[in-house]
Amino acid sequence: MRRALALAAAAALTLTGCSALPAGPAPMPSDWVPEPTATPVAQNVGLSPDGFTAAQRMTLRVRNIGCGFIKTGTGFALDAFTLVTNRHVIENSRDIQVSTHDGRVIEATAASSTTVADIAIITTTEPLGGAFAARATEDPVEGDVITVVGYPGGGKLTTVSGVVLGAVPDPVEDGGAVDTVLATTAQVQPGSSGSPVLSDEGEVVGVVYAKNETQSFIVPVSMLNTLLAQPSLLVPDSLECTTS
Amino acid sequence: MSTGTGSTDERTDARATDADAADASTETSPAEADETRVDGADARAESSGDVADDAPASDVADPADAPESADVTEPADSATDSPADADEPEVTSASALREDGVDADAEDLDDEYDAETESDASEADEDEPAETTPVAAATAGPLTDDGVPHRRRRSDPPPAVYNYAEGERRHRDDHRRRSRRGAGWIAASIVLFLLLGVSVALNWHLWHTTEAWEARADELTAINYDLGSRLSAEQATTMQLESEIDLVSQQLATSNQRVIELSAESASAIDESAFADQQIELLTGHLTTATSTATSLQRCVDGQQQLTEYLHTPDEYDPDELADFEDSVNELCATAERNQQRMLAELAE
Repeated sequence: MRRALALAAAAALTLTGCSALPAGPAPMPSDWVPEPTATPVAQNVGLSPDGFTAAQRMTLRVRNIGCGFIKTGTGFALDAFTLVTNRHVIENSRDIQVSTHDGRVIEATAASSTTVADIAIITTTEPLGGAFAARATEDPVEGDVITVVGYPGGGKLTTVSGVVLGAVPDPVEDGGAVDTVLATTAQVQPGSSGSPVLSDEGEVVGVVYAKNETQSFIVPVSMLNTLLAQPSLLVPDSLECTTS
Repeated sequence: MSTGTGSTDERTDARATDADAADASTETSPAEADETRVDGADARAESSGDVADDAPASDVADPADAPESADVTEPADSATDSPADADEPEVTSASALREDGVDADAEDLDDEYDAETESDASEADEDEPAETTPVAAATAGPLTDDGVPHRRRRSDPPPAVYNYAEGERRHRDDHRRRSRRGAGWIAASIVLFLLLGVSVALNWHLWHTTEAWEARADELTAINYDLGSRLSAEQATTMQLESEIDLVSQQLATSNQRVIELSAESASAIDESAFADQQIELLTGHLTTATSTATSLQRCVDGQQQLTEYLHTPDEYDPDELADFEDSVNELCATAERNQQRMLAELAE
């Protein structure tokens, strides 16, 4: 009998081990496929309304219709009605016109320049476009990779790259620079004067104003920031012929 | 018995010895109770008082033990009441059949009885206190040749005294144990039946659970195939769209390049137009200067022709007036010459 009781106890223990019985499956879920989101996950910064990059859209072609001459240069929009270019681009101008990347022509209404750097500010009454420059707070240093967008030779919108070589004295006689400028390896042409110099982050770190056979020279962004912070350093230019 | 097989003789001897040992149980110490009870049970199960009666006479050395053996087997005879009662030839036959392995009933009966007696013996060991009835003749057990007491063996001679009251009491104890054993079996059977029921219910539950999971697995497989087909279709659509995006991107790049070229051409045209305007303006200035120069030159020529006519007939004019006219013509020609030189200078620029 003891063996029978032991057998019963063993069977009971065995059944007790089955106390954690497997349950049946839960109701079948129906949300296998999540609902698609209505909004894009992220905006691709490389896209723009017309397929042009922000650097291309903010870069403008400057035409100086002088007294008996035509001169072209490059500028870039600070806001919808203001652009930056070189002083020598708008010298002796009788009329200044600005062309956008898509061919629109905008008349400039006023211009001002400074004697401390080869920088000029042009204002318009018609909006320039949808992209504007973001200025860096610090100058580029030696070895930084830069990108120059401009209209070399007054031709097509062109993008070139280069590397900052370092600070050098102003190589242009009577250039007017009171401080050092930066030399780069970016190859520019006449007509690229006033082109924005962009960093890898797309910020403006300088303005092209001169070149030699192998180098180009830029006004550091710190000087531009100083001029924009002190409007008194900018002198309005008369859009009249000063030479007969 | 002397005519039986060797094994039969041995069995018979054993039974006789067991029967004798039953007597000894009343006289042995508590430590010997196991063996004593087992032997007594064997004596009952065999129910072979006849065999026991004969066996001691032939196999046991001491003839005086034979009557005691017969006495011991009497209660067994009366209790079992005899299907097991068999005469000697039957026992011999049974023994022979058992050797052949044919007489299963008799062997089963023996095995069952042995099992019962063994079980009883074990219960008696655990449940009942060992009996302490002193028996003077066998308390220390038989002595070996070296004089040391030892546990009683079956081959030892039976004790000389049998206690009838003790046998009766042991019989009642056996009866009570059997009753308790039956109740235990009933309880164990009930428990086993309950466990069987639980097992059936558990199997039913597990079967249904398995069925449900199998259905779920089939459903999930179908859903997987559906999702796989949809995924494949979406991937094909994505690849097609990516191809189209690449094509559109190329077209956009081409268009942008074309826009840049057209913009440059437009700007160049504007530049040329502005330059042409400047040239026209310049030429207009030159033309104006030339016209003025030509006019002044014409007036110079006219004045000189008039002066020449005056000089052909000088007597007809006042000399002072003629000199003034000559001075004015010279001034007019000088102005014309200056205008001409200025025009030439402008054209030279």
